[in-house]
Amino acid sequence: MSEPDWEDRFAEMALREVLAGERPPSVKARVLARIRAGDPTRADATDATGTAENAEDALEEAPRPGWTNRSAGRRSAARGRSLRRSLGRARVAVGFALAAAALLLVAGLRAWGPGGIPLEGGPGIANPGSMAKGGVYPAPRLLGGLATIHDAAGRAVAGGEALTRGARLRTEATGALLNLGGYASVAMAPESELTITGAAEAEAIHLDAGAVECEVVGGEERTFVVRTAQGEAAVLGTRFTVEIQESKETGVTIKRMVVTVLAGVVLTTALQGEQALVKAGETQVIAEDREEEAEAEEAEGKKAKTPEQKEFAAARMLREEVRSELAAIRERVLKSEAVATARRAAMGATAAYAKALAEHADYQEAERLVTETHAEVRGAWRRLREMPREEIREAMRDMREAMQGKREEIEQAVATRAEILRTDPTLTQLRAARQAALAKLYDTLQAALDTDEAYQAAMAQSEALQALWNERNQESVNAWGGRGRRRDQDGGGDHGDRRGRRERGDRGDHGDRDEGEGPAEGRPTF
Amino acid sequence: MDETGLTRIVEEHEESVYRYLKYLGAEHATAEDLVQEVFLVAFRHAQPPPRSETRRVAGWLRGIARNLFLTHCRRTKREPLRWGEEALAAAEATWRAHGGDDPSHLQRTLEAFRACLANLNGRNRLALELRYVERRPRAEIAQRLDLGLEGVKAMLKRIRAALVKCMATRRDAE
Repeated sequence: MSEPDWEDRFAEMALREVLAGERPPSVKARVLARIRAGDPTRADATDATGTAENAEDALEEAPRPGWTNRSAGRRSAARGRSLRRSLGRARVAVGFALAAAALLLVAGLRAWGPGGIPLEGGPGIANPGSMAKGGVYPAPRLLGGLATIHDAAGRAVAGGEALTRGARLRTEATGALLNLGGYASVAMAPESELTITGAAEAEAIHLDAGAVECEVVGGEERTFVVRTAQGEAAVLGTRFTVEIQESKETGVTIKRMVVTVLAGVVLTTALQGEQALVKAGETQVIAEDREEEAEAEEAEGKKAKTPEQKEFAAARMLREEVRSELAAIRERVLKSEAVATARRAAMGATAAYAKALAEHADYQEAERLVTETHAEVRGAWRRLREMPREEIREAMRDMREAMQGKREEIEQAVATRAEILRTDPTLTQLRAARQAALAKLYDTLQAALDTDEAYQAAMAQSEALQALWNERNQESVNAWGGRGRRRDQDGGGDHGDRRGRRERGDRGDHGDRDEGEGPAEGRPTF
Repeated sequence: MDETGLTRIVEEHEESVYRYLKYLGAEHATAEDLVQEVFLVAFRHAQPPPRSETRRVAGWLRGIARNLFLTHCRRTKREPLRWGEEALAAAEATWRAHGGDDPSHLQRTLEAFRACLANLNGRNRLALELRYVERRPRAEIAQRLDLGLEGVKAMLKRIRAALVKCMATRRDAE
């Protein structure tokens, strides 16, 4: 690598400031806000303060800006994609996927968990009981990490501050942690994009790209929904992740909404209206095109050449069988009298609540306004992203002006919607009934499955196959960690890393590498 | 370090830390994010240098900034993935030579730069405005100036070198 011309770089810096208007920002308020909010930047900062003399060593130990990074996110996402594809996808109508996939998803997604917060604890809610106990309802707040934030009018606002509903957050190299209403905590993965929607006691986000891990402290009056273009996941009190996956294995971009429940229960609703109750340890995939995915999986299976690949492909086939068996058992259990009754009651209660909302003119008007405006803002952002760089500034100015007038309208609509949900006695009653019915369905279904011998046997088989996946995943991670360290030692740079990604990629060569036995400590830290 | 101490350090050094990150090659948004991280790291450091020792504090903050930036580059696979000791030493020497060690000195350097820039005119001025004000692609600048792509690159580099030279002369004269 040729050495930089530092004089030239100094001039470049000065020109960007003087001519291009890239002025130094005032970060005092943001820094203080982040400190007061308990920023997750690693506390033991000593290692980051290396001098020029030991920069190379210090580089290894420099603190992560609170969260893991884009490349780690990509690595974990790529690993997750590969494994998930191998593990197959659940059909929306089935309602439950294998716990195996969920576990792997968790393993993959947890990699971007917040650095300063124990991963096992998930995003964490610092003080869940602090919500609006006779005081002011807390505004959405960015607690930590880095995110580019735009308010409802498209104006860039500072992190570490209270956010308005309609604000749009985008993370790049690092993730971010968001708190909604004091009871919902949302950890954004790197390269994710979401809009804060919802209302007081009815918090919601719209996820456009990337992944989030959410933790929600339940309560009869509190709801939390993650919406995507594919569907939505509504929760009562739980921890779960939602990821938008994109794949291009058949030349067509396919987007899927992947919901993995870590604790509690989540009700997913596909755009087509199909609903499913997803319990802890399970994954629900709302896909756009199942046929093409199946073809991709089949094609992938044909590539098996090495013994490891063949083993993996055979295990995948076995797992498909087990999955089919489990699905058949669930279908059977769902038809049993007790579960069917509970299911009808749950669907009835859900439909009744949806009907009441649909018939509530004021609510619908507020909802329509919020939804349409958000769609408009999203569309504008998409168009912005596709624009040539030199046109973006002007387009942003136009957009800001266009959106300014709508801001108050949206805020009013959101407030109206929240007020309706909070005060309308019929809606409150129906929501409580829905929650009770869904909880009963969950309990009934779980009890039926727990006592079903065939189900237990199939689950045991599934777990045995899961162990194989875990083992393979660990080998892959170890080998990858070994390569990463050696590359650093060798000064391998970019080429080495790309090569590493290909080896680990989607071509089926899982673990059959002759170099770099991984470090004993296992999963690398990001 | 308490919040009051941090506030003062931020006030004194935030601009120079941001400029240093830009000097290393960070984009505006990245530099803006990393500046915050620099001070958060500094805040949690057990034994920061005394605030009265401005140059030492500036050097210390630069070290944090440099490490965070290099980590960021490596993780995002952007250049530079790493620099050798010589490159880092050269970066440090150039930065110090332009007064980066002392916020007020750096400010004077930039004022000198502005003055030199104000005297620029003709094609050179046009080239800079197309590049930095209008942010035109290099191909378009080449077309406007009737040059090849490499010609534009060389021209911009030559102008920047001339500006730095003028800046140093003017600053030292003052």
